[in-house]
Amino acid sequence: MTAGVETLSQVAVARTRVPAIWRVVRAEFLKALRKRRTWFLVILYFIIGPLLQVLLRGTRALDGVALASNNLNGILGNLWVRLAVLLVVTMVFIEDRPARMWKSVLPIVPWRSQLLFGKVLAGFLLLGVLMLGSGLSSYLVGELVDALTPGQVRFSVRTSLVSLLTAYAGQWAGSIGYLGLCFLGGWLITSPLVAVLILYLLPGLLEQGVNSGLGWYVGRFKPEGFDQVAETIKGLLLTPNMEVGRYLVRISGTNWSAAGHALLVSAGYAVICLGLLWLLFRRADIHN
Amino acid sequence: MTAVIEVEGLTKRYGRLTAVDHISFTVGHGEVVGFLGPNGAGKTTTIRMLLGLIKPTSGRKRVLGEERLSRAASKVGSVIEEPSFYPYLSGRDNLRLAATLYGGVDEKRIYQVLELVGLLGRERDRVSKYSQGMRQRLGLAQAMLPRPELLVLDEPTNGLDPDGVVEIRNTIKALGQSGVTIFLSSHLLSEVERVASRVIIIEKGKIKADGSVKDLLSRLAGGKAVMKLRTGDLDRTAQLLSAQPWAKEFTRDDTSLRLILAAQDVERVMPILVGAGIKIYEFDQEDFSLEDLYLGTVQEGHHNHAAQGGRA
Repeated sequence: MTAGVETLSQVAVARTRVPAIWRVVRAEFLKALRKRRTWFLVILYFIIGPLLQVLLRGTRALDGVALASNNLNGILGNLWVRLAVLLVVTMVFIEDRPARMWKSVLPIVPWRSQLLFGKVLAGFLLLGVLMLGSGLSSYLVGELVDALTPGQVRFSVRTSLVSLLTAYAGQWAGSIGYLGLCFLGGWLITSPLVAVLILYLLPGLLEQGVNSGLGWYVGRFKPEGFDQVAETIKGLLLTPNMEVGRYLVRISGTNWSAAGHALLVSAGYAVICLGLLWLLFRRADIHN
Repeated sequence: MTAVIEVEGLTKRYGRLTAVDHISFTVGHGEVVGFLGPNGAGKTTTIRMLLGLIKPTSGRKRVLGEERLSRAASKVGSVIEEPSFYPYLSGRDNLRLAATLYGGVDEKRIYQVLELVGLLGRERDRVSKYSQGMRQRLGLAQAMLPRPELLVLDEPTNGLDPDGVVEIRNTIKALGQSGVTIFLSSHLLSEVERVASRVIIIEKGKIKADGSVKDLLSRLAGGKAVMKLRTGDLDRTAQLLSAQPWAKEFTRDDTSLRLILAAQDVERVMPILVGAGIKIYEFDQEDFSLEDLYLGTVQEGHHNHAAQGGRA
């Protein structure tokens, strides 16, 4: 033991000037690589998901012309994306609260904003890795199944790998709004289990609630020219704007306008949620 | 002596409750300071304020000359109550994580601190398989990672078995001797007495005593002496001594008597016992302990809280 103590008198190692935010990102990646859930997500999104889509959903092609991507329909759907976002955010942020990690980590990284946004960035990058891998894997699985099933019916999207990856990249960018919501919810709801359940169901429930509310309003007051307003409100909901990828790869052509709108709405949610979280985080006395 | 910790009028209120009430103290470079107090006295709140985990309601604190911990964080190591770790990571990976956050801590250093706290050989085990004591030692290892100039330890021997307590005590002692400033909160008074050169006693958010252990004990003694007696006939010894007006108080167990009396009266004891023909097996002067000091200070606080000022 004494030998270890003697090392204290040695000259301290020169500290690297890496910003704390990057140190947090690196630490979160180190953590993620050793977490079983990461590998569960990898298997789910890289292997099981694409295979299920191809094998269970049947063809989306007719007479050799692709109508839509098997893979895009499924993996880029908001339920799949929500699951991925939620599991990643739980790993980098939500689980830390009951584990009382703040009291261990904050004295090491006392720059609260850098710690918080380091975790947000890590979550977003982890999601990017997952999406990139998922895109590649979707392409490979589609090609593989096509090669193994002769005939006119094609299983893969038959678009270029680049456009497929563009769709996944768009989907990744589009997930930022829900990511922000999950971080905010994870801060506000102390129990991770309750947080995960609520956050998974919340977007859909809100969407239903808003639709019902609008339907009731229209039915009750029969306002003239309200349809446009209702459409605008519906267009600002999170759920329909989470599927950016679908707008980017379509048989009818890329719908840049819809994709741009979805990205803007998602970014808006992210700014509001993360801004609110930042204010709460800075104001809070970290008791746990 | 350079001040490593400077606290001035530090206060923390939660609604109507004042957890810490205008406390002031300084800790010099190389000091090992025991921070004592009963549960709820304000020890952990003070430590959390020092480490930037909670905001003071008022007052000032400087750690290593910096008001913002962010500027000194790389030179401060801390263990707060039960340290938190990711249970699915090994002890070594948890340290790697902390090393990444600190920056500039290499793999060699991780093994050094593991050796320092006696966890070498178990470093690949998941923390979920660690005992409470092992987690506590891992917490100490994490605190030691950046080669800190200041170590802030809040109940570092919590939940440790006797062997673990001895190991941690020896580690803290060695660290103190190597020049690291240590601010140590603990409820194990005998442990603090063995490692700390100075104690600060806090009660109900106010500092009740602050000084070197030696000075405070001699102040407590105030010309009194504690004598331990083992004789051939304890009943008769007790009877004889209780009749003496100068024997202020004594306690007895099955084998010995503990007698408190004025220092100048110590020489009166032997002649009385020898004269009565009682065989004397042991007649020893005992020191006042930190426990006597602590209990005396805290009990005095209970009786006279309103009248007490800040420092003793």
